[in-house]
Formats: sequence, structure tokens, C-alpha cells
Amino acid sequence: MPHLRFTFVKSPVWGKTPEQLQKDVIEGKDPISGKPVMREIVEELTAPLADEDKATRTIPQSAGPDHFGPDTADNLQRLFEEKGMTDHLPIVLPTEEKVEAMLKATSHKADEIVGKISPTPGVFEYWSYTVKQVAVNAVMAGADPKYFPVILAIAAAGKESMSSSDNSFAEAVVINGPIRDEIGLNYGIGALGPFSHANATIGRAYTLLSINAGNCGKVGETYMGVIGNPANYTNIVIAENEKESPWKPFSVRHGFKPEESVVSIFEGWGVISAKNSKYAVWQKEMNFAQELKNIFDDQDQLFGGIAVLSPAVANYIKDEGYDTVDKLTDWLYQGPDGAKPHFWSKAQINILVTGSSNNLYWDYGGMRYVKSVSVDTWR
Amino acid sequence: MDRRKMLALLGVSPVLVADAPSYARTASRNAPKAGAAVTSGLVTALNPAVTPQLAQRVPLAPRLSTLEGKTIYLVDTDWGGMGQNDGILQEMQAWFAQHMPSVKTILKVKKGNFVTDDPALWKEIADKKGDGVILGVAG
Repeated sequence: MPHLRFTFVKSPVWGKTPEQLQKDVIEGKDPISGKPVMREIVEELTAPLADEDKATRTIPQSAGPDHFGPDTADNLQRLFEEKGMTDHLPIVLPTEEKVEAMLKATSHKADEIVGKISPTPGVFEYWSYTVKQVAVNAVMAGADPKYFPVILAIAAAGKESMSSSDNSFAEAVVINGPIRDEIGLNYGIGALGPFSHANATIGRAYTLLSINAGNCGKVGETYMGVIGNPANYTNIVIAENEKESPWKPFSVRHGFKPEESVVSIFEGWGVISAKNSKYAVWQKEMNFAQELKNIFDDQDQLFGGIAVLSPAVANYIKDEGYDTVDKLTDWLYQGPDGAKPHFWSKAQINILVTGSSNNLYWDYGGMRYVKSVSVDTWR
Repeated sequence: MDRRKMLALLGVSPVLVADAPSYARTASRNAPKAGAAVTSGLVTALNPAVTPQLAQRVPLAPRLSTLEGKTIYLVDTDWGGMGQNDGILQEMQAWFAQHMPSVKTILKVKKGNFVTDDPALWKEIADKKGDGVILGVAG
């Protein structure tokens, strides 16, 4: 917020002794202004207000002209990157013709507001965006127009793909319903990898939209992830393998009809192969449900537990007696011998099925379910 | 990042490209309209960025002419709601005691976490006539 008076101190401050805090922070300098911390704080409390500090008004901002060029494609590529409008990979230049073609893939008007995104709600203001602005970013991501209703549904969810948090969060997009086959989403071999145009460009459009229409990913301003997260390039797109799953699709378990196409957004740390865990032990007789419980009970609670099971593993678990996800969740949630459950609620446990059945691998992670949006309403 | 810095990172001397064709500019009066996307090998591309709508700004609270003899509240926002972050404000309190002993400091931890409000605390500060507040976020 312009004109608000604040002082930065040297981070981190957690885990420091009083002596370290006194020396490094209190007697140190603001790393941004270079002024001694306490002198700056006293000044901020006592320096007279300027007229601008007393004003009540909206401060105008501009994203610049509505188009760039005409120029060579190389120059425009470079311009878009320099302006921070890309993910630093080459983009498809969003010409009027390509954007028009994208807009034809929805019945919604170009100037209709789709949603709004903030790099961290409650900290940064929301920016709202129209169907056309979503289309421009979808073109840049290389998306085919037939993917556009999915991208609009993701945009309508209003969830940032990159949080300003220093935690380096990742987002996942779960896709259910007929749209998966209509547009060629991959839910077979390598479902979470770079093996499908639809999976790759839909996920990339989400990140580009968050950058350009949601104020996300501006390093040092609206992005502070300490390590960063490779999932932020295309997010974790998970089209469920409904055909081979023994259970109802995720969207159906959340109130949608099987014939409805739906996107569901998740947020958290990301996912990793279960083989990373000491609890995933290959043995003559597998007990995948127990393996899953052991892993979940050992996880951090903030984002709960998510399992991305291959159909083969999911069917093993079904054969172990869990013919519904509800039954499995009830059991996973139980504390040992009547003790308090590890997670705060059953809603913190989420089970998805995708990928192929050529071996017994599966992924787990800490990701919370945020919300679902109908794709069909954006056709 | 500016152009020179980016080129330097790429290992390209800014001098070497000083005479290169100019970067894209906004359409001039004589340039083709945006609808004519490709003209003689040139391209016009739409701007993907949104012009942000900013919330109404509120005026800052009146400032004090001096802190001498005043009561200043040190409020920890309790960022993650864990009640473990007020160490830095304790050290700030110690600094005031040593360097500005006439300043009375009162340390409070806000209820909830960094996005939750604590009207009872704001009322307490107003009722007890706090002269100023240092609101801290620690991480």
C-alpha cells in the first residue's frame, strides 16, 4: 500500500536467541532502506504527514497499451519477457486473430468478468479479469481453443497459481468428466508428465493468467518463495482415470453428476512418489491402505494428505475391503486405538486416481482441496 | 530487470546490441490496426496484463511530534497463530527501555493469525489511550 510506513528487518527472525535478535535485527539496518531499524521506526511514528498521506482516493494504475507492435516476432517475444509477462519460456504471440479464435470456443461475452485473483488474499488486492483477458493468456500458453472452457473454469475459481508466500506453494488442477476425452487430456501412462498438449497448455495458461491478470509471480514484490517450485510452470494437472478407478470420480464425490465436466483446485506442497517414504515397503503381500495411513500419519497437518493412486494400487485397496473412498477415508482418519486423529478433519484426506497400471507406484503429498467449478457453464 | 542487466546475464554485451532494431513500441498513428496482426512479417500482439483496480486509500493516522512520555503499543500479529513470534517485539521493548526510557511500551499478541481481526484489542488500545502502535509481522 503506497505511503504506508513500514520497516523491514533482516529475516528470518524465528529461531534466534534474544542476543541474536538484538544484534542482528534491533541494532541492524532495514535491508531495503539501509536505515537503522529503530531510528526508522521512531521517524515513522513522528515525521509529519505529507498531503498525499492524508488523501483518501483511488490511486490510478495502468497496465500499458492494449497491444504491442507491429514489430518482428523476435522483438515481441523479448518485449513480453522483459515486461515480466511470461514464464521465461517462449510464448505464442497473442494476435487479435488467435484471441478471436479462442473466444469463439465459449458462449460467454468477451467483456464478461470471469473472476479475480490475489497473490495472497488478505494481503494483496484482488485483480479481476474478463473472458478476453483469459483468452489472451490462453493463446500465449499455446492452448487450443477447444481447451478454453476448462481454462475459463480454472480462472473462475479465483485461486492464485503462485502464492506470494515464502513457502513456494504448488497448485493442482483435478479434471473430471467427459471433457477429458473430448480434448485429449492424458490420464494414462505419465499422466502428470509432459506428454499431452492439453495437460501442458491448460496448466501453463493458469500460471500465465495468474502472472498477468492476478499480479502473481513478481519476484521480490508478489513472489517470495525461498526455494521456488517447478510445479509452478504448468501446475499439477490431474485428469482422473475414471474408467479404471474402482471408485466414484472426485467431482461426483463432491456433488457433481458423472456427465458434468468439472475442475477442482488444490493447494499445498506438491506431490512426490510414495517410494520416497520409509513406509512404502515392497513385500510379498502388499497392504497399500496401511502404507497410505502410515505415510499420512507422519505428515505435516497444514495441508492434510493427498494420494494420487495408479488404478492398479486403487484396485488393490478396493480389494483390501475399501469399496468406497468414504470407507477408506474413515479408516485413514482414525487415531490409533481411539486416540485423537492425526488430521484435523476427514476433509483433509483426499484420494485421486490417475495414470497407468503397468506397476504399483503412487504419489502422495500435502495438498488441500480448495474448490470445484463446472466446465460446462463456461462452454 | 532492465534490458542491460538481462543481456549481461545472457552473456551479451549491451553495447553489441545498441544498434539492433528497436523493441516493439505501441502502435503509432500510421501503423496497421491491431486487427491486422501480420503485415509484411511484422506482428501486433495484444497486451495480456490487467490494469489493476485499487481499493480506496484511507488517510494515515495523525503522527506524534515526539515519543517522549508517550504510550506505544507493540502488537504482534501472531502471523501463523502459533504465539511464538513476539521475541522481536520483546527486544524492541528492551531497546526502548534502554534508549528512550520515558516511552511506556505495552506488548500485546493479537488473537487469531495474520488475516484475522481483533476488535477487542483495538478497543483496548483506544480506551487506554495508547498514543501509537508498532504492528509487527515476524517470520
